[in-house]
Amino acid sequence: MNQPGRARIQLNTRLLPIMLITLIILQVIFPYRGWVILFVALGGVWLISFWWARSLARGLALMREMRFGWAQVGDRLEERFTLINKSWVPAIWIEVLDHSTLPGYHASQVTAIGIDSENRWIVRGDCTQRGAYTLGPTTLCAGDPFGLFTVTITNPATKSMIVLPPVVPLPEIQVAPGGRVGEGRLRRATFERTVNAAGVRDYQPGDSVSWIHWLTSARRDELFVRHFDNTPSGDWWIVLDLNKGVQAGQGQNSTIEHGVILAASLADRGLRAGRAVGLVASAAQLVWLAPQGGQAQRWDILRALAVARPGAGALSDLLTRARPALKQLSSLIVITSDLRGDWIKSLIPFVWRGIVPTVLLFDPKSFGDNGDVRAAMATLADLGIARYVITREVLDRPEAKPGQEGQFNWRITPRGRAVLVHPHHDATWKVLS
Amino acid sequence: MSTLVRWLRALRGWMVRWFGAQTIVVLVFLLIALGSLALGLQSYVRGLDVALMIQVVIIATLFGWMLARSPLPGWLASFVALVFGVEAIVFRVGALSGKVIAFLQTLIPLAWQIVNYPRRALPDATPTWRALNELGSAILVLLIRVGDWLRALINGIPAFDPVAVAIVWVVLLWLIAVWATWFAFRRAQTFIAMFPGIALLSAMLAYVGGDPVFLIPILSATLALFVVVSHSAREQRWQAASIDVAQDIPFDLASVTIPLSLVLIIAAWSAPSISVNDIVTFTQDFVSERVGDANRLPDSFGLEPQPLPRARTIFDMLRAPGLPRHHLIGSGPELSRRVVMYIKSDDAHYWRSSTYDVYTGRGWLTSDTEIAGYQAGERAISESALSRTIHQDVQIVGDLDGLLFATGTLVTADHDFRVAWRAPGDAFSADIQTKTYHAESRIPAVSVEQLKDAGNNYPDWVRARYLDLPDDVPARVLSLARDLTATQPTPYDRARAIETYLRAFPYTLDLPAPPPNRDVVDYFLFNLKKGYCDYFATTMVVLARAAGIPARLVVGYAPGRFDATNARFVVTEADAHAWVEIYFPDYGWIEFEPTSSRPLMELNVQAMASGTPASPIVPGWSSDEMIGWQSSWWLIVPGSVALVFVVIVCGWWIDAWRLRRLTPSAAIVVIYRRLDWHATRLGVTTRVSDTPNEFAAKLVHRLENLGRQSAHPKTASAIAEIRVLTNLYVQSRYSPRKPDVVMRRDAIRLWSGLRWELWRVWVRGRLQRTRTD
Repeated sequence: MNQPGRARIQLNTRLLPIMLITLIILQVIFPYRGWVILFVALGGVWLISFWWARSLARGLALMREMRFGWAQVGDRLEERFTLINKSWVPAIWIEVLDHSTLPGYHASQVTAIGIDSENRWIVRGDCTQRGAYTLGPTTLCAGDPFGLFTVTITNPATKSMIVLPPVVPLPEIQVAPGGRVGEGRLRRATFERTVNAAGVRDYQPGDSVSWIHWLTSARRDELFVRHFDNTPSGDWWIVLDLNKGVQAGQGQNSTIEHGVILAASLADRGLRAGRAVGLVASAAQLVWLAPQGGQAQRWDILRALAVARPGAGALSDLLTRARPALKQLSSLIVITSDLRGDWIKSLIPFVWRGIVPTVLLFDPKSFGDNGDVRAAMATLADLGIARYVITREVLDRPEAKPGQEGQFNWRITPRGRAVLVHPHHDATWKVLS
Repeated sequence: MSTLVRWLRALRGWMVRWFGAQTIVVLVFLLIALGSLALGLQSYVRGLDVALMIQVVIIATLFGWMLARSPLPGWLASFVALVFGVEAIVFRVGALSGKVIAFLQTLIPLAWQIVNYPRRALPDATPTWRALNELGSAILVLLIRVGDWLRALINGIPAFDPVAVAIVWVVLLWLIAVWATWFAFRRAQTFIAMFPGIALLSAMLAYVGGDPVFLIPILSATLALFVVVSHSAREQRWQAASIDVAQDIPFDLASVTIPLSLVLIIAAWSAPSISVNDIVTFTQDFVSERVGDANRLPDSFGLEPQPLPRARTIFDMLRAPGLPRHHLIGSGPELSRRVVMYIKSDDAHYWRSSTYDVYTGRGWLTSDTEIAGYQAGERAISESALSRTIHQDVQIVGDLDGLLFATGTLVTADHDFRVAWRAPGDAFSADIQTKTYHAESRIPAVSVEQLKDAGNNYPDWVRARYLDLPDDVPARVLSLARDLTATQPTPYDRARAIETYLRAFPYTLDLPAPPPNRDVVDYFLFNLKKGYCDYFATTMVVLARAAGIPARLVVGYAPGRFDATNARFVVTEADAHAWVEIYFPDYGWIEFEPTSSRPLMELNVQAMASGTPASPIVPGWSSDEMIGWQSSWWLIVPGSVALVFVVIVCGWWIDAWRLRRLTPSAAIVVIYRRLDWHATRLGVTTRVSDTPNEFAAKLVHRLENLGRQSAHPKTASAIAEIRVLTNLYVQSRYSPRKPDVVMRRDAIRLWSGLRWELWRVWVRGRLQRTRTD
């Protein structure tokens, strides 16, 4: 499908038509053969160039398609560009200017195309940073061979995409369960059904009538019942400190990015373990996702983490705000790089309520900054709070490498055949619209 | 030969690496376009030297390219180009290099004296002061000449001054060339670049009715520049944006644009030729030719119509194409001691027979004449207050074909006589049918001061006839005339300068014949460098006309030997002579003597009537001072470099002054933009989305890398200064607390030091890259 664009022809030198008019006047008033020579040569080049540019403006079109509508850091993006020229003249040079915001993705290109022909090429790019991005719009710039006119065709087609943070295998981190009272008596967490419906399924004999989903049953003309997530009685609250004042490191090697990866991986681990996981983050816009289980919650958490940017909120304030929401059986996981310790006081009320927090504290030294975690760790130990020091090396291991989508990995069989190791989940092309 | 080829290939490789292939292509097309402009101007503007024009085009193109590549803003570049161009052209056209050398030569002993002053005598600056004074006077004269020319132009008075004209046209060519190169490289706007050149050339050709063929090269080059310049700009943009580019685009462009350009140029050249009128005229000519052939049918019967016979006069013989006299411009006069006439007169004069106005490059002709007969005693011309009457009694004893000999302008004779007039008051020659006659004539009575004050407001008939030169006079002859007369303030001084210059050539009769198809004056000046009166006189007339002074050739006899016994002059064939007359407004023709074997002419001062003797003309030049510009043209380069250096220093000072005049925030923003410009040039790739601190980090990183290579201690301080300037910029743009005056002062101070370091890093990088290449 061709994307119709707005074509604009721009004259690069306005002096030329003025001179042509002047030459006509001069020839009328003061005839001279040189005026005619100039008029024919310059007028001719102007005319040819205009006709050329007009033909290109009418005949050029671009189609842009992409694979893999969602992505995770480490995935490979693949786009297919199809340039069509239906004009009478060749486009000797065409700038395909891509205005995508995806970092490190360079789809802009200069190419050429002959008369009544079609060029197709594929652009690949790696998703290196989490975030919300836009692919497109695209601008085509072409012109006549003499450079007198520039044709600009704007293709407004865009597609939004979110690059999710990677979910990586974590080292052994024991999340302290909730429900300790007094001396810390452990209550066993029992599974129970919650009101969180994950989907519908066919009615089976013995299912409760109250579980029937009447809208679907009416539409399908047969009985369907709601399928509920199995939610553990002890929820996980992940509190991610994104206060920009306490972070260490730069870019991808910062405590911010490692915190996000850690939060995403922990959430994934908790959800896979059947727990309801919630997320609170002091990002530029406060992230508050109440604990839920299931795949939908996983996407919500990853999406929220993908677009999270450092904010100004202090961890202690965040904990204070979160305190009423946490039930006695909940587990609290705090991810921070704040060594000042004032937020530790905010944990004491949780301990009084029997909620034993698990603190994952980043070691700033491993990220190239100053600071010593020992004081904060000693305070946490005094309070009996579970605690781990997270260094840069924890997430920078070979087995912690993120997404593989779009990457072509091949295995060679003993007979010499190449076999694709990671086939694409969805390899269809989708046109940007 | 193979060494030369290898050397040329190495040179080409070096040029491509240093300039870039596209830069060379653009420069070549610019040179073609501007070269055609120079040739067009030289063909139709009198007195322009093609070598000079081509030199100016080449230097101006390279100069414009350097300006375009420099960081100078447009206004400063214009100023530098104007100052440098005008200075170089005035020195070159005014042939001032000899005086510059003389001045510089006096500086060396002066410096030596100053160094040794405590031990020796007080330094003597007199020679330096004198040389400087001469140089200043010469420059002043040049300025006055240009000023007079401009004043006459403004007042609508026709006045041709070859030096002023050369300066004006060459400066114009210089500015157009620099403009074209600047816009082609800095702005990538081909048509704006080429517009002044095309406009000037076409307007000039239209005015003079010149051959429009000169438009073809400039148009072709312009079309090529359209393609190359626009593509070069696009490629730079693509390279800066790190966009992948198909490699075969230049070849595709060439394959499309070369045929298109050829078609356009052929169409442009052919279009004016195809007209209905031409077709009709061609048909009529064809038909009339056929009819004419039919009318010549009687030829077949042997009936051949003969032209009517016409009696040939002495004037016809003198006027005939070729040499005016047997020994004028030939292989050497065969002279004898045979007496041709006796003349009684009160003083020694040159006895003329005829004058010539048309120089052909091989000899002399006269324009059409009308013969007027006069009876004995009848006056051929009217009285003139500024002349003196001369009486002479002439007795012809040789075969002089009835020519009437008299000094000055013939007034009357005691027998019937005829005068061949080119125009009223402009006599070609006279004849008389007797061997003994009394002739009365007039010679101008004028002083040197009066001639110097005569000006150059020549009558139209003088301007049209006696300034004319053939188109094929070699450029070096014209160039020499301009160099000789550039710093002479009046036409009289210019004529004397030429006369003095020629009188340094030795006189000889032993000469080979001039080569056929060779300009006689060029042959005399640059090959023979010796000769006899005809060469001297012809050369002076041509040089004078090239210098904008109306002149003509006079032939006749020198005064001869004075026979005191009979109180008469005895004139022999060996006294046959040619000399020069220069026209001065209000005074008429004044004789000059360029032949070195003859004494200088004496002016017949009007004051003689009161008893004051005529003062001989003292040459104003010595041959030692005739130093060709070619030997010292290079001296202009260091002078210009020094001037450009001063201009740049002034520019920086003005820039600092301007920054101090800005508000603190604006000044800091300006400095930050310059920092950005330097960063781009140092190869720092920035994005639009970069914050100032990100930009500073990139620049610092780049400098650190470069600093590691060069291990220069100033790099560390430069990095600190960059950070401070960036912080100031951030504060000026985003902080509610704007920078104050102190911060502006600090920023300017930091920038004053930092920019030198950035320049140093850049130059070092360029040098390292060149060495690596």
